Amino acid sequence: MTLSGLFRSTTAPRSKRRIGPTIAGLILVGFAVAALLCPWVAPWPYDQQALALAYRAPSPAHWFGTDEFGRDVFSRVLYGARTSLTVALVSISTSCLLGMVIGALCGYVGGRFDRWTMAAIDLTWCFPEILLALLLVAILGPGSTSTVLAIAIAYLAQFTRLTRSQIRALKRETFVEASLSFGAGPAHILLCRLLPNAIAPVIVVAMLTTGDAILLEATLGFFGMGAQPPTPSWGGMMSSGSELLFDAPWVILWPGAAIAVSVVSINVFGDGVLDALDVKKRERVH
Amino acid sequence: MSPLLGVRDLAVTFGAQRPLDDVGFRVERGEILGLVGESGSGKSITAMTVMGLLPLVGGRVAAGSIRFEDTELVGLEEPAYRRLRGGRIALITQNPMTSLDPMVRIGRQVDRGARLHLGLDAATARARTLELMERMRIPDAARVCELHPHQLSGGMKQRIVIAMALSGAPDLLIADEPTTALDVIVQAQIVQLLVELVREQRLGLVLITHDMGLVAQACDRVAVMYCGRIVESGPVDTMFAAPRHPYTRALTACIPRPGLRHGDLVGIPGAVPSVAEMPTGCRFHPRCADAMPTCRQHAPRSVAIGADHAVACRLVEPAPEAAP
Amino acid sequence: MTPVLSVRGLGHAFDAPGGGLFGGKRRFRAVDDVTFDLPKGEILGVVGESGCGKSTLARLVMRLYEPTDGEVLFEGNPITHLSRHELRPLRRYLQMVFQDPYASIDPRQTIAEALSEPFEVQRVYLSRAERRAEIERLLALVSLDPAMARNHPHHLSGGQRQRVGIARALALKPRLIAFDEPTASLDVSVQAQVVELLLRLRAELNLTYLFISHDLALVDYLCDRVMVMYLGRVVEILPSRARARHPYTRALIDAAFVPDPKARRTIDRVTGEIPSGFADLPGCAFAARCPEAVAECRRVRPPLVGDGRRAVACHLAPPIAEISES
Repeated sequence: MTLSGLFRSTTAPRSKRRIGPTIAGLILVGFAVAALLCPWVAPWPYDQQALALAYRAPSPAHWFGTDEFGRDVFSRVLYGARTSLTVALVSISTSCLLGMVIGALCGYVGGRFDRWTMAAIDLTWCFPEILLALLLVAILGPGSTSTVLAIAIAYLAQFTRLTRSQIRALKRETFVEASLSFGAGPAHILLCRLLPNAIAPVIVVAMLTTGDAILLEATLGFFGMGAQPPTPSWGGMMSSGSELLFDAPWVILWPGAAIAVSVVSINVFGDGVLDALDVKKRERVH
Repeated sequence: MSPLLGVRDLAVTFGAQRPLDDVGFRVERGEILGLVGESGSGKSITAMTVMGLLPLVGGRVAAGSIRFEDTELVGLEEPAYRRLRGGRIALITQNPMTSLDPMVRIGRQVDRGARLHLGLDAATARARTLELMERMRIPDAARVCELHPHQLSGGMKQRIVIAMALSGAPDLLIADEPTTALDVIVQAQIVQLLVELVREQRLGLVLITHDMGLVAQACDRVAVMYCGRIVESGPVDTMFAAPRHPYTRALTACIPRPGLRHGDLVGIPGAVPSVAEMPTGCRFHPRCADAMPTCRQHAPRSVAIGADHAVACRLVEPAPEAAP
Repeated sequence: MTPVLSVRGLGHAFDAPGGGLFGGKRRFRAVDDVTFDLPKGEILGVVGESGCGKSTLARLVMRLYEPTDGEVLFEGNPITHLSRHELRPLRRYLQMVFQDPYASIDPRQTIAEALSEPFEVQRVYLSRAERRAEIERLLALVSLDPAMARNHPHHLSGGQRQRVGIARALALKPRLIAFDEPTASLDVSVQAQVVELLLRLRAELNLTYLFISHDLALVDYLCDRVMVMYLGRVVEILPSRARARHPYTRALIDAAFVPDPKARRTIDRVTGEIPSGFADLPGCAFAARCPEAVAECRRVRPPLVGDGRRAVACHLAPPIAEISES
């Protein structure tokens, strides 16, 4: 038995079930349910204005207060979840799927194809995400579609690189050689041997990146490049609330809190998934 | 006079598990003790225990004593242990590829022992290093000192690892499978070097291995370990000429050797049980060809059956009439 | 009768980056001009130290690597230039067992899935019942409990995993199996079990083996003939248990740890280690370490002289007639 074998089997007792990821997961489910059901859950329509009621502090009628047009902040945070989370999820899934396909092909095929494709992909790393987004918005005009595209492209290189390096490492595994020795073709090797083994870390990174995507969406919204009024997004709400930061802090506080809670929850949950997916940790339980 | 290393009734626990139980052996100066068994039999844990490295992996000594000359090592304070470790007791690990620091030049790595434990200054330590490396038959030692580990072959690295172990002027060497990762011819060269070193400098050497072939070629005495217990121990000639424990016989029988016909090579059925699923009674009984019903219930005591020859097996226990 | 496997002048060379930042490329010959026949039912052992090209040889024969020179014939038909599609039906008859049983099964597969993969890859469609029957047959062949089929590889011991590796190679009823150090990462006690299993399977299923190993004693026990390689070249082919003629073969025999304390040996004849193999030596590859080398050995490369069963590449080797008398 080697020393590392000893370390693994003795000092790493089965990781105790941690409570953090579970709570984080529940919070995320809560956000998702709220985003899905907001037409029924929200006490007010998100665009119902009542200028007389502008900048009211939180009260039993308006739990989170009202904004500059007298709209209910609580309802708008719920509807904002819909925009922000959808944009984040759609952009990251696009980015992740595309990155996995390109990365897997590059990693598997290698050679000149790999070099040129990766050079192109790496170009996106030359620009800060915000600049890239600005460029796209300038071309496509502001709105959720541009935001989704901008975020998807901003994170594409990361997913491509990760998948590619996974595939390249796995390609050298003996079990791949074993499949080849049975006569397996590239499709079987790629789909049955390489991708299933490469997918876990990519999924985890995708989850952790979703948190960043929410932030990026909020940033773009804050600069007025995201979803256009009156559609609420957390970033846009914070932007409009920033004018009266000290007199009506609730307008900016609640969407800010929503961003913070969702980002932290996603990160904690992602860590939990990482632990759970770690095959090596589960190995040799006895 | 007390032996160089004397281990008695040693038991080690990791939480509720007890990978070592009732382990005893001794090593004299100038002697090579082979500690043999399959992987999972507790050999490496024994090495770590003697080196005082158990706390590092979450284990602790539950009973017994380890005497190094006149010092009791069980319960020894860490600073005192640290002075012994790498100094008077040195460990040679299995894999020379991972036991050298890839970023540090060979010379500095070998110097370290002498500087730390003998308090030598840089120049004297280097002179000692060169001497040791020449002793290890490393050609062109001064040049090798300036190299990094990746520039050396496996056999060369293992020579360096041994030189490192010798650098603190040890009295006792513990070598955990020192040749397993090497090529056959290099294996033989390294073993020969170790044997010469032990004889010349009157060191004690605990040679941990799973290979009875290596034991036969190098050791003076043998302790056979199975599932954390010593099942048989004795002088090497006796252990090969008249092994008494079925496990000792089985370990020897599974080595391919000249003159065997197909079907002669007998493996040991099954595998070493994990620490969590230790069998009752004699721990070898599920794999033993000669097991009797009593073996399942009663753990055998270790019985002396000859000069320096002890065995823990029910089949042997009524010593007088079973003796050959 | 045509041999199951014939190898003619097989070579595998590649360019490796040279030393230093601007060292250029150097030609590395992993396998250099290897020729042998493997008749049906025989076990041919290939021995040598690491870097001698024995594992590469197995992969060339399996067409997992592409040879740069020479030819491989399976049952008399050249397979070196077949495309992947042309090769696939032949793969059924040519199987391989790998060294590390921990790495040769996809950790995500259950044993049942691992055992049915060869059928899927070869597009052999089995009903659920047939599949189960096949898996049970294969596990029984290698003496494993059929209940193990549902387990993942990490629940199995090294020996059990290697049995699964063997069962997998047997799935498509092969005629030739190449073993790449199948017991090198197992305990000796388990190695003996596996070796006996291989002998039983050969007799039961009429198989032919190419057995790669670094352990001459093991190869001598298991195999009918032994081929010794050094730096990519064949230095000697001899029937097992026969008297070695090449100094390198003798050095390997001397270095083995014989389990008999009364037969202790010292080896001081052969010194040093395998050189890195880059040097395209004009003479004998072993000359630098050989205790008997003469000037000619460093100048002229000794050809492999002998018949198919027995040959040696050494200027100083005694003729066969001389040694068969002793």
